[in-house]
Amino acid sequence: MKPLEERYNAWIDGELPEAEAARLAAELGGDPATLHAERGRVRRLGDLLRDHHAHFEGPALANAGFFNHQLMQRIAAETPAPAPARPLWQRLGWRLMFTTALGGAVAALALVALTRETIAPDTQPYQAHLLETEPGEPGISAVAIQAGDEELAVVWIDGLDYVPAEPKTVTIGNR
Amino acid sequence: MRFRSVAFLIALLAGLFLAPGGGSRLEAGQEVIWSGLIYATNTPNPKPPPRELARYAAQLTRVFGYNQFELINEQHRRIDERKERWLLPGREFSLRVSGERESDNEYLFRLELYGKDRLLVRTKARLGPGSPIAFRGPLYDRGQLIIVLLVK
Repeated sequence: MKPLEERYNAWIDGELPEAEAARLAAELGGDPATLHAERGRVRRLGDLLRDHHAHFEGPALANAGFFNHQLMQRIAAETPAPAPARPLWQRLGWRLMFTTALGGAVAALALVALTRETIAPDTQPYQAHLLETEPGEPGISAVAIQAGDEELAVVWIDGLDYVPAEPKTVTIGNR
Repeated sequence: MRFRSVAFLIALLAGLFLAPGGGSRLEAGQEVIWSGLIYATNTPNPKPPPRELARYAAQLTRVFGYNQFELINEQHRRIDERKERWLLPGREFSLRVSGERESDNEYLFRLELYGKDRLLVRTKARLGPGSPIAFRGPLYDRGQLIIVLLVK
C-alpha cells in the first residue's frame, strides 16, 4: 500500500480512485462533509501560492557570473587565512630544546656519578688499616681487629691492670 | 613547568659539581686528629654517644659489647708531619703520634700507647678521614676504657 501522505496528496488532487478515497476517509476518521471542505481549502491555498509566485517573481539576473565572482571574493575576504606552515625545526623548537636539555642533564649526571665511582674511588668512606701491631712489654698482648666492611679498626689489648673506680685516676692533665 | 624542570636539573648538576666529594679530601695543614678517652658501660637507658662517635656507635657496640659510650676527655690536634704529637697527655694514658702524608687522603701514623710510663702497644696504621682506630684499654669501674683516634 502507498504511504498515507502520498495517498492524501493524490486525494487532494482528485487522482485517488473511489475505493481508495473511501478507505482514506475511514483512516482519517472525519465525516465526508468535513473532509470535502478540507480538500477544498487545501486546493484554494495551492492556487493562491501559485498565483502569488507568478506575480512576485524577481527580475532575471543579467550578470550572474559577475555577481557570483563578487560573492566569492567577499566570502574569501571574510574567511580568516590559515596560518602559514612553519618549518619543522620551528615547530619542534621548544620540544627539541627541552628534550636536548633534559638529555644533556641526565647524561652529565650519569657522567658525574661514573667519574666519582671510577676516577676518584679514594673519596669513598675510608677504612683504617692497621699495618703492624705489637705489645709494648711482656704480659701484654695486642691484636689488630678489623671487620671486613666496617670503618672502625680496633687494637685489642689484653693484660692491662684493672683501674680502680676512682674518677680522679683517669683525669687527664698536661704532660 | 619545562623551565622549572630544566632549572632544577641545572641546579642539581651545579650542586654535584660544586659539592665536596664523598669522603672530604684532606688539604694540607687543615687536618685535625681527634682523640678521645671513652668510658664504655652497659646501662638500661644509654646516653647518646659523643658527636664524633655517633657514626661508629653500632660498630663499637658490636666489638666491645657495651651500649653506652661516655666521653671522659678529648683533644684536637692539628696534624704536623714534622713533629710528633702527644695526644691525651696525662698520668694514665698518653698516645704518641708521628705521621706522614702518603696521599691526599691518607696518613701513615706510628702510634704508641702508654699507660702511665708503660708502653702498652706500638702500632703502625694508615688512616684517612672518618676512619677511627679504637684501643681497648683496661677495665674501669663497671665498664671499660677505650681510646679512640680519628682524623677529621
